[in-house]
Amino acid sequence: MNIPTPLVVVAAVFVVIVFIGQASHLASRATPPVSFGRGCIILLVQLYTLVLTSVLRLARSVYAPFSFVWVLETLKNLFQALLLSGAGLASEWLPKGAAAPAAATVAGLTLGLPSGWTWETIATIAGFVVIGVLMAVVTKRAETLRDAQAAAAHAELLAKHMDTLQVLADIQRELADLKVTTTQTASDVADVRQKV
Amino acid sequence: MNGYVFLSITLVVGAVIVTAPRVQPWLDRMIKRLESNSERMRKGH
Repeated sequence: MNIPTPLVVVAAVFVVIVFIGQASHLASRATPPVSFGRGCIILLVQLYTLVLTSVLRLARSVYAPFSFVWVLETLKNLFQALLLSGAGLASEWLPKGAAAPAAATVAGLTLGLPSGWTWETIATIAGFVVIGVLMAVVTKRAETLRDAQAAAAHAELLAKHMDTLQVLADIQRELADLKVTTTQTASDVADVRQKV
Repeated sequence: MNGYVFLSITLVVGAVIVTAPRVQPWLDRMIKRLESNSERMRKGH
């Protein structure tokens, strides 16, 4: 790749101009306004923050799906399917019958993988073992998440219930006040009538 | 070749799943801290 030199020079000048302009803009925008040098530092910190937060956000988006119960459940099901199909595949590789008992296979492994086994066979089996462990991890995590969500929902419901109870108590108090006022008014009316 | 690819994928996915509960809150904290720092600096404090 050969980039023409004038293009590089023009691009560099453009970047420098934009940098100076933005730095002085930031310096004048600060309260109270700061020096140009300080504006340059602010701009550099902002650029650094932009790059770093972008990288972190990208990582966050990779991790994000693993906080959803349904994603974890789907993964578990996928792993389960993979394990089942893998078991079928593994039975094809493993030596069959009395001619090649397990002990002979293990002995063969230590002697440099004869009998049709390669390092790839071992890598594949290790992959299935990892999948099995992952299934357990994912199940545990899904259960923990579901428990946490249920607890949060319960707390929210309880808070709503308490609010309703509070409103009911308020209404009850107002009704009692109204009753007192009504009784008072009735006795006042009776007094007036007697005087008349 | 397929066996190695399979093992690599499982290890990478496994690493993400296993580290997720610790890494996610840390990422959230870092993003928030960086943004608030940058905002404070922009305002000239």
